[in-house]
Amino acid sequence: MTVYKLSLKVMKSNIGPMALFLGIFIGISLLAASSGGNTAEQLFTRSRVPIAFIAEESSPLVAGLRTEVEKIAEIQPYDDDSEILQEAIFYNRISHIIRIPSGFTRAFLAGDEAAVITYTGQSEGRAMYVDLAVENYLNTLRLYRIFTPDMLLEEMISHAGKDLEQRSKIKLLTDIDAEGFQADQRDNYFNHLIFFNYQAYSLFAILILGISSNLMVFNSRLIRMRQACSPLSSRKQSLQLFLANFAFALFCWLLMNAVSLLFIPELIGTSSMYLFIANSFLLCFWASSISFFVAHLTKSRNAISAITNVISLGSSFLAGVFVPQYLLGAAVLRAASFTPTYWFVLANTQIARAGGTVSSVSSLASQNELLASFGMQIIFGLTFLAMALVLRKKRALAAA
Amino acid sequence: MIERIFFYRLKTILRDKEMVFWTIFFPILLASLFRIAFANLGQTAEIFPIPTAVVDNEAFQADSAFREMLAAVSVDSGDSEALLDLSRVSREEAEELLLDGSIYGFIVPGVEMQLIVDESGLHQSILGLLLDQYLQASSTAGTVISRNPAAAEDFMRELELRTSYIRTEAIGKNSPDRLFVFYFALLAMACFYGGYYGLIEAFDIQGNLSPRAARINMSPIHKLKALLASSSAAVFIHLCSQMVLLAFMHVVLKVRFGAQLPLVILATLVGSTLSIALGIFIGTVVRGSENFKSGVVTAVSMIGALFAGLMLPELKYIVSERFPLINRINPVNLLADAYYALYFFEGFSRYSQNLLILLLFTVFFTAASYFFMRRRNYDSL
Repeated sequence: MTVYKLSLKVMKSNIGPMALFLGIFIGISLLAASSGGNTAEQLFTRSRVPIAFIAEESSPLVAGLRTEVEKIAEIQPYDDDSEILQEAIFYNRISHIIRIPSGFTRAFLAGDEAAVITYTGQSEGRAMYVDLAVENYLNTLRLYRIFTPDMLLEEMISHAGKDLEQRSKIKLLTDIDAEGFQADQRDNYFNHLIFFNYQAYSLFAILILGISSNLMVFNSRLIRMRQACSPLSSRKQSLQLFLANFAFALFCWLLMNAVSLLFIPELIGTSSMYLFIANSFLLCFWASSISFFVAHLTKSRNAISAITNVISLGSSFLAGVFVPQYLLGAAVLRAASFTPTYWFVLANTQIARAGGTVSSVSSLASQNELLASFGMQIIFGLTFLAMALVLRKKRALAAA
Repeated sequence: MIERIFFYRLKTILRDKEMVFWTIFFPILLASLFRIAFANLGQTAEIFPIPTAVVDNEAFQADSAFREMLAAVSVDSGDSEALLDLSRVSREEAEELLLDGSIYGFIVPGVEMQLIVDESGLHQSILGLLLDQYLQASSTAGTVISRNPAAAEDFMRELELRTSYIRTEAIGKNSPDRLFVFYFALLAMACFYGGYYGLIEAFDIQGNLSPRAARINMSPIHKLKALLASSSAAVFIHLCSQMVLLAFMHVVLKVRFGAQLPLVILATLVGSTLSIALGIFIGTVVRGSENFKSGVVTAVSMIGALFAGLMLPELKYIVSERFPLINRINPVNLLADAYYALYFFEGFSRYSQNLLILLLFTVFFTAASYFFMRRRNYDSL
């Protein structure tokens, strides 16, 4: 195992930058997961968005609208100062502004054209619910105005308020109260998912960076020529080299999962934990294979970081690490299914789904799906490993 | 002498083809991937029609208004933008359909209208909203008709004539856009990849670090002049690569730089210069192997880009709000923020403020590197 030992020695000399990167990427994972992570998901949920409500006139109609909006949004105390409002939108302190222009009440009651002006920040999806509430309120009042013109405005408003309180009952098939489920289970479910999904970026990135810079040493022409003289077959050399790098990968994997579990202690000991970690192990395997392959593609040390970004960040975008897969288009997902990251994320989603209380009924079906996702990752790993070995062999021959 | 150094540096840098290639193409590749992945994010085209089922029970048969409403929004109505792909089935069939994933949920009509789903998500929320609206409208209809029985006929018609009472306007010059937070962070990160060019400059000018530098140190040129001449070559090449990226974003990805393109280019020039100054600074002041220094450059650009919102736009806001100082000195964020300010704000105060800080950094790093390497003599190389 001379090559194996030598390779570990090279890594040891490289320990400073590697520790730096490991720290950074673990930090990134934690930051991202704790910052509410799955933001695209929140985009479409009915969470209370912070908004500003600017009324240029006061009337019972406007007060009623404010009450209605307040049911689904957090009205922040902002004055009508466009510079301050602009800043607030810029920094995402509020995601929506509703402005009632003066003369709105009169125009609305007279049946003339009347409009509330809204300015949308970045969370368009969530603001959609606010706009919907405004439209529903005003349209309900419109119906009262048309059909019961003798009704007092106050009475119309109180009726409209009651009408809009009507809600359908949403239930889960397994008879768990949907509201309760959404609040607790689902949050957990997504938090776990984020921690593990982010590994597809962070663990992958550190492995490409680390393994490439380790192998950089062996890629120099002179060293390759020297190695070619050795009585050890080139296949054995390559395999030992891969093993050494895989040992490094395992170390990163262990550390990353240990830290992840520290932050989600409620997961420890559950069957989901074992599945999540098994999936993460597969990630570790195919990410090492790809890194091993990529390391043979470049000779420039400074290009490594650029390549790392393209591969790890690019596949993460494509395969739904940062946003849930169902929000990406079908065509994108089809393309993404040619990356192992897609199968990794898919497996995580399947585990989270089956692990929760959701569809234990369909667990058998989902296990088969899960095995397929695992299998795909193994195939990707083996393919890239084979490709890397072929490439090494060719290089060795070229050197000799 | 200066121009000779400049031209020879150009040649030397261009010889590392892989690095030049990757620094130009990595942001282009990433931007394209991002664009492809998020092209239909937020677009509804792929969401509708939502496969749904309704349980065909007695309550459903009795409620003609509900049947009409569902018929009007489902594919069978012939509307190409219909909301629902609705099937009328028995309760058992509905459960089966839900379990095998062919529908997102099913409706059980009754005194209490129910929506049964097996997980929550966007489609399920929309189904919920649709039912809510129906219930709310029924409640309104109840009140209206009890007060004015004659209204019953016209009510449905008026209900469908839903009026829009909202006019959306942009608060800044353009509407804020998460996509642009990403593009600008990427542009800024690519800019700070110039740090690697700076690093090479640092290696090639300090006699104890590379044979090439040893040779240059033999020449009687002033160190500052040599440094400026050779780093100008690096800035030139890096700026060219940034221009390729800008052009790609502008022409292919349609990022709206607008009439302020010259100001965008100015910001890029300042960013390029700073990134190379930063690379030289790291190459001279930081102690450690070449590998370690290169790691520091990577770390600066990655962490900087992370806080500027590259991986997650929200992070930019969280950091800016909770730890304002970090992003006030994070060069990647300052540059990304300058681009974004040009895009969003009418005035230029924020833009020029950011640029000023970047320039101060440039001067500081250049001066510090110079003072560190000046008057160095080597006994033996």
